[in-house]
Amino acid sequence: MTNNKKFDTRLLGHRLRSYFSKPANIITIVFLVILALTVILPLCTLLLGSFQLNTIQEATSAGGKKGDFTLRHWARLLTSTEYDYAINSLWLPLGKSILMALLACFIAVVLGGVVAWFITRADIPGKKFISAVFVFPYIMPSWSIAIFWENFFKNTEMTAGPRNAGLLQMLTGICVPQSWIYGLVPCAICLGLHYAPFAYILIGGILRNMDANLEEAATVLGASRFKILCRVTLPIVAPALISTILLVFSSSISSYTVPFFLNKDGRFIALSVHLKNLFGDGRTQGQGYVMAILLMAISIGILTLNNWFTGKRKSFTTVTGKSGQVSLVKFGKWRIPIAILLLIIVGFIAIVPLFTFAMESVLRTNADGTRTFTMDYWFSKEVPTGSTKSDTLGILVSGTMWKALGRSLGLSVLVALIAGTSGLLIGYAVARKRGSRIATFVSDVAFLPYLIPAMSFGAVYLSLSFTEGFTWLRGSFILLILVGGVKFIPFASRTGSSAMLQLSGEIEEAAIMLNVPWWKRMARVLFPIQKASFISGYLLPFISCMRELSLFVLLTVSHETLLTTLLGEYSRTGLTESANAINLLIIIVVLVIQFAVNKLTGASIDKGVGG
Amino acid sequence: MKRLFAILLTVALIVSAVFVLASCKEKSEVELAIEAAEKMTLAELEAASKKEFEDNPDLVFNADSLTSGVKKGIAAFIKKYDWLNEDNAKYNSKKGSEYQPVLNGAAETDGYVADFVMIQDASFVYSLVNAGFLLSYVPSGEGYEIAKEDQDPLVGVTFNKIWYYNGENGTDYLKNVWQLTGKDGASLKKIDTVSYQSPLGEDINMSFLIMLTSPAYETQLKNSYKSYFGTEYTKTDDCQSIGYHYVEQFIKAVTTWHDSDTSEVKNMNDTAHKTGVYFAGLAKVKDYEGYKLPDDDPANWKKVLMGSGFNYQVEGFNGFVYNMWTLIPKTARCPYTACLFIRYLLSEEGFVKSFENVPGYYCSNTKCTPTDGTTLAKWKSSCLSEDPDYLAQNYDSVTAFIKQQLTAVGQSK
Repeated sequence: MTNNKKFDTRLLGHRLRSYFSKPANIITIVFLVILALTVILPLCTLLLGSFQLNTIQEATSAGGKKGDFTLRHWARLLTSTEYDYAINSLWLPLGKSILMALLACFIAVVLGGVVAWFITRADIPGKKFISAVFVFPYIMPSWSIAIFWENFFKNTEMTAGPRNAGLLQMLTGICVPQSWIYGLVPCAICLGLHYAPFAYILIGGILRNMDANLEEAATVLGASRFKILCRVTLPIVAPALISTILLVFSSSISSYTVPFFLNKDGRFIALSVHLKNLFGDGRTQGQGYVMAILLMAISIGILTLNNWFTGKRKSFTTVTGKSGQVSLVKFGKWRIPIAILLLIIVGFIAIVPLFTFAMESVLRTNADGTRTFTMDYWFSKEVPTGSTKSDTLGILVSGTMWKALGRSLGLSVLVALIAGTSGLLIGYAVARKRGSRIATFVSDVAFLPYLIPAMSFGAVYLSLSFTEGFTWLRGSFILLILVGGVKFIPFASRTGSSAMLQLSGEIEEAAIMLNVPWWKRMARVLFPIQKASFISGYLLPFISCMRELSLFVLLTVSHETLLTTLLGEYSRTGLTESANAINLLIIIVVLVIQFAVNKLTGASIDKGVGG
Repeated sequence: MKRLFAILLTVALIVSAVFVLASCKEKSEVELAIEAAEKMTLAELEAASKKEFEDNPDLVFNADSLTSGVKKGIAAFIKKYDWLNEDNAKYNSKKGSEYQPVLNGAAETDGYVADFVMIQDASFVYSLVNAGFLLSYVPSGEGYEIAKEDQDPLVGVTFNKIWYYNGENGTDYLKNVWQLTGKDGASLKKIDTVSYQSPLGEDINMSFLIMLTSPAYETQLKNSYKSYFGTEYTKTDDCQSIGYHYVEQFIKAVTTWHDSDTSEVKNMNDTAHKTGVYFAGLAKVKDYEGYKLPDDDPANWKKVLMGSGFNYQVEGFNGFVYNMWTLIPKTARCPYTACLFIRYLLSEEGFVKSFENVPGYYCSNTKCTPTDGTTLAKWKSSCLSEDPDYLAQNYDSVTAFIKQQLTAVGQSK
């Protein structure tokens, strides 16, 4: 008996030593623990919050004690018939949000797909420029497109006053109806425009790699162009199409900023806006948890559907090998008009927004209603009454703005380092332990933060910062880094996994044979081969963090902490011109960094998204 | 026997003393500091504040609020006291809907959040005051006169939201509140351009609508109804009271759901367009561009911007009066500085520096007289006011009713 025990202990020890001698196993276990603490625990908090009285106000209203178990949040939000509460608070907004997301999918897929097809399959000029500029709207924060939409279409028929004349009215005198500026349809259009580059990257990737012989064979057999499109091209891009639809749907339905900015008439309350209202009110926080769980459930359902679809279509991956022949469809005399049309579309969604932000930041509305050109909102050192001395009118001479920019950049760099490195390591573990349950589980859990609405994620970490033992996190920069690092891991882990899976195991095995240590194999062998993809895994979290507001808004002590919180404060206090200037600055910073990284390393956002 | 009785009495006294002591909640350091500060002279309080920063040079005084008045107040406060500067005394702008979870989190765990808060939303404030998390320091002495009902919790500033419009359009607008419900009266006509910020995005507008359903205002609504329509109000099956009926009709009659009172007031200077009647804070008059004209004199904007409230003569009610409370969290790190700041903010000098003589800001210290020629007492008697108990008890039910009306409007238009 004793011998058996000794043997078992020795065997176990031997097995453990053997298990932990492989770096992939260590990484898997370490990330299992990290993700359990940073992702699963917050999820449990969300779930728990939906079944208890969370605040003093909830406890007073329910006649109970804080922490008491309750089903009232679920019952009230899902089934309450008191003045149709459940219908008005959940089911109607849910229905409208689904409609908005479907419309956004349609716009994104049609626009992105059509542009992708022209860029990859047509003989039009200016493709490089169109391709480079078309991804701008995805790099820009989604709310900047919403603000542009409002700046462009607002008019004095809708709201009196010269400051309410938008670019379209100023240039043409045309006044569009209010329903074209605010509400469900404009939200769907802006989200569609924001995600169109995403569709372009995914569909374009497939089209680029598709063997053109298939289409040519159909042409030789006498099939019409329409028939080729329907019977050859579309089935081939179907997996990318379905992935795009499902991912755009999932992102659109939980998008907060676009429905927030384009809801000035209060007519369209999207589910995400409603979620923020519930969270922001101590009396309804529990219902906020319920709604966050429902939103997550929808997203998880959609992604499961996505995995099921793409899993079923595995056979199509055989056509992704590049064909030596790339046959372009010849448009003859239509080449130029098509190129011009594409340039106009690209110009409208990618360049005009920058122009309108610039315009809005250099026009002052005078007391008599006229508007004059001024650079004050950029360079004036005038200190408004009551401001601290660094708080100047011109944002480029404002110490507050520079400090906020510095913190935003610092935060984004650190978040990108954490998320990017985590993604790379998770990718390594997934590739080396392909098929193992534990690695698949780690990979799936790493993707979960993408599905948790940003505001709820922030709220969970806020409550953590008030918990005994973690109070040192409250209001600290470390909390922002932690939240950002975890929230943006999904982008990096997807990029890391797909890049690592593309690498043959033999490459690393050769280095192992030569007794090259693990860190050296990573740094000298694996990383350089897939450098562009890995750096894209760092770039995506960086860009996402630079433009993030909802995630950090509950966690920053001061409105001056980050550039986005400062922008939010300027918008709230009516400093529209300065807000537009900051908006433009964020976009320029992001674009410049993306461009510089692309030029220096070859990495780009499309490599990250497209995997 | 006597001895036994004495022993029993002693034991009983000891036991009761133990129970009494056990039941007494120990006061927090901040509560004790506030009690001490209330007994101090200004010089003593200044010395106590200075000592806080001398004892701990890393200390930062954080003042959280929605109103930029606190920002201006802090800027002036820093200039007045040499131990304070930009780095150790900060204003943090906090929007209500983003701040409630933060304050709740701090209250539930006795965590640090700020040293001074100035917030609105009566039922929320009272819930934290009743929980013992938000504390009041009441300044007294020469230059201070604060009504008893404004002391616990301490009201800092009272605001009013009224109906106003650009008088240069020449329309003689609101005389009876039922003009805002979309139906012509016996002698007065309805107002068909009503602008109101959605109560889903503005908690004060939600509180106003909830208070309209309170039994406390039924009589004045009934009287104004009779005066406007010429008949008595008769209760219908679908509305449980005249207040609910008013809210339902009012929501149907709103023509513009504006996003920001500030932006709407800015737009009012465009007299070329027929502007509507806006429900907005009188304090927002500072954002009206005509108000900033160089040749501005106190009467100018008043003439141009004829608010219904200036004559207190609207039948029914003139608007809504609500408070912003100046409080100290139980977990404040520099309570004496917080007390000193409250004392400064509510002084004549501090109030002017913070709120710049703009109309629509009414200090709880009645020694600070309003600059718009009105009085808070008159506003209070002619407007609806917040009732924290009514708001807390009826919030769920009435907001469900209001959401139902808003949804109906959204669907029909």
